[in-house]
Amino acid sequence: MNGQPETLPPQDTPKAPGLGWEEFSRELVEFFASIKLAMFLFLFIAVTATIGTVIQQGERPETYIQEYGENAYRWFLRLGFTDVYHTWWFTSLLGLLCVNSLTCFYKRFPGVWRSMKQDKVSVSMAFIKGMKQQAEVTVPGTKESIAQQLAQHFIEKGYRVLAKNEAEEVTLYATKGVMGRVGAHMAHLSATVIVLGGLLGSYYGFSEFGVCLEGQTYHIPRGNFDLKVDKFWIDYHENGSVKSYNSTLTVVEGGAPKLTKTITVNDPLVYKGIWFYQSSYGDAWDQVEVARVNIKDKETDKVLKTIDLEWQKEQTLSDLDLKLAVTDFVADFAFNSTEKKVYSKTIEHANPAVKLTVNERSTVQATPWIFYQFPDLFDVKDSKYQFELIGYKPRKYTGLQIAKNPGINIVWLGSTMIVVGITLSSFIYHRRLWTKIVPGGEGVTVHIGGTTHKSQIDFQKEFRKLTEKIRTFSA
Amino acid sequence: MAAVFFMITMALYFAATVSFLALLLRRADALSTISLTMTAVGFATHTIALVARMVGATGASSPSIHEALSFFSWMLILVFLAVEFRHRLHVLGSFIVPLALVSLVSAAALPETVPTLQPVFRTLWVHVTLSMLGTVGFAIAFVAGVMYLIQDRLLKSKRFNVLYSKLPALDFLDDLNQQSIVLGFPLLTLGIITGAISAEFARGAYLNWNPEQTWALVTWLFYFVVLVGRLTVGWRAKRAAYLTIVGFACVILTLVGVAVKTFGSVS
Repeated sequence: MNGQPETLPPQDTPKAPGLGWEEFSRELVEFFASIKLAMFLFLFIAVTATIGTVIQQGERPETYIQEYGENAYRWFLRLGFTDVYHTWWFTSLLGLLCVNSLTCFYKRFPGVWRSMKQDKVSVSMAFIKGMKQQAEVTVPGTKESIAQQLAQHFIEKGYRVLAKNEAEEVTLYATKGVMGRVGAHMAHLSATVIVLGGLLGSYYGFSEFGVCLEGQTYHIPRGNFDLKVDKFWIDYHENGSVKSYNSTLTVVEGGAPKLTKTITVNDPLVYKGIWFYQSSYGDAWDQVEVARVNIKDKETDKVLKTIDLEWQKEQTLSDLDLKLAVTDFVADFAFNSTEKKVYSKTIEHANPAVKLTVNERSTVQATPWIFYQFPDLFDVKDSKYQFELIGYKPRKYTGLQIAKNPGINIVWLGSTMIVVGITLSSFIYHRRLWTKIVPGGEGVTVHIGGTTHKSQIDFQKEFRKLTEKIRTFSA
Repeated sequence: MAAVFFMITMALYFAATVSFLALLLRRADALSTISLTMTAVGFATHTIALVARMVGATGASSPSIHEALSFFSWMLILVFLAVEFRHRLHVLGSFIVPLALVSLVSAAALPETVPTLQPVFRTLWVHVTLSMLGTVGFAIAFVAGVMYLIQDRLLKSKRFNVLYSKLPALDFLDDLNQQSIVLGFPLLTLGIITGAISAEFARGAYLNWNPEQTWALVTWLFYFVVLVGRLTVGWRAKRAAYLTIVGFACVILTLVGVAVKTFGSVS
């Protein structure tokens, strides 16, 4: 992070007091670039983010009223506490953070850039003498040979060296580690990049959950293509627990298959910027693969036959003069009396029931619902038989998370920038050394001065070692 | 087999904690030798326990909160032993080893998830390692902050007892605080980013503001403010010490968030 503030360019003429635009805009820039603003924003964002963990987000109103009371709930709504991270003011805070980091960049980076480009070899002796770290060493030799050795030493230490050889003296300028300052600014910019990427994804992206059955094709309206689930299966460990679940998907566009991939958790399929993730799986709540039905004789109550009925496939039992088919299934039976419709209350298999189509002796035709948990609930009038559902094999659906996030690459770019930026600025510091080698007496006097942007103590040590090294230079 | 070594480790760390705490009250030099030996042996058994656990689960271990806390405890001891080796700072152990013990006991209290993997967790190892390394940095900063405040209070009240003589100089503690945060912060940053990457590939959303992620971000923001505050506004050591302690509370809340996530509803 930046240690020393950059000096501002001096004003050319004294301005008359009052709200001149130039002064106002300068103060505005000062305010927005200030580190205090940044810290305040960070803390504020942190506090409001915490609200989101204390108060459950995105719940139904009843939940809030139950826990906090109606009055508190009204306040939550007004302040947006039920969906903190998407309120206009939270977004504004993030936006302000961007303004803050951009202003800081605008204010300080030009100085760094100038520093990088400008190579101030021409400096006065007073300049060197005025430096915090400076020393004077007298060694035998010519100014050229000493300059040569010194330059060599600098280069070995990784500095970039510029030299100017004049009649009375040689001036050397050595610089190293400017990337450390660039790093800080990169980290600044990265904050904006990440926020922008996040907002982009938030506004132009989507995320939906799709319940998909094997063999079905689903239309993806946002991408204008179809997705076919070729296969879904689960792999198990030896002890029976789930190892992985996988779906083979084919993208069909314009009638032709474009792409086939088997996806599993952490290995999604992507087409036209839309990502399909293997998120979960479950038992379908509106169909089964096979239902096992007991056919009991009503009079004797003995089980005459046990058959496995495949979904919506009629089976003929000629010896019983019976045709049976399973035509419907609900996992959690519920009946809508106004619409006179059967539906599944939940996706849990809490009260499973199948609808049987019974065709007996061509005279009795009925479509009763038989219940797994209540075998004696309904009975078919006129029928010789009692039907019981004793088991079924549920159809598995594959749970796909379908998402598009247009901002995601921007977020990754910003993440990389921040990591690189923090690393550079933490471990590399910008230091510069100026040397004037002046012949005099029996050799030359080396006037050396240096400055560092950060890490004063390390630089002091380095400077001391440098002066010691100079003393060892030979003629 | 892992469980046995785990128990032995806990017992050893417990004994070491007692010995280290005694070190604060008594001048006996033998105590430091005993404490260090027990810690070192405990570290060895802990290493065996961790390795056994990783090998025992089919393929690789699933990083549940139990593993994370155990791993964190292990790394704390590792860092302590390394610092001890270099600086011979026995008293640091009096603060770090109890912390490692608390972490390990918490790990023991929380049920281990099924050793076989839920597919989504396999790629989390990088994220967990980086985040835990960052947490270790903040834990050391926390310890340095606590020691600083104790030392400061002893100085002010002029109680030059055994504890005072054992604690290192204020400047050193302040420096340790700063350096630990400087090291921990980039690691936490990487931990958050790798966590987002894992979430993106598993769920399709790199950020859905669940407590775990939110607290991690809050922790990040907080330590950033502390870092910047030291460098620019010039927050001095005592304030930094207090802040570091608050920051560590955020770290703990993040870990709580992880624990809730693993055993509560999946968000």
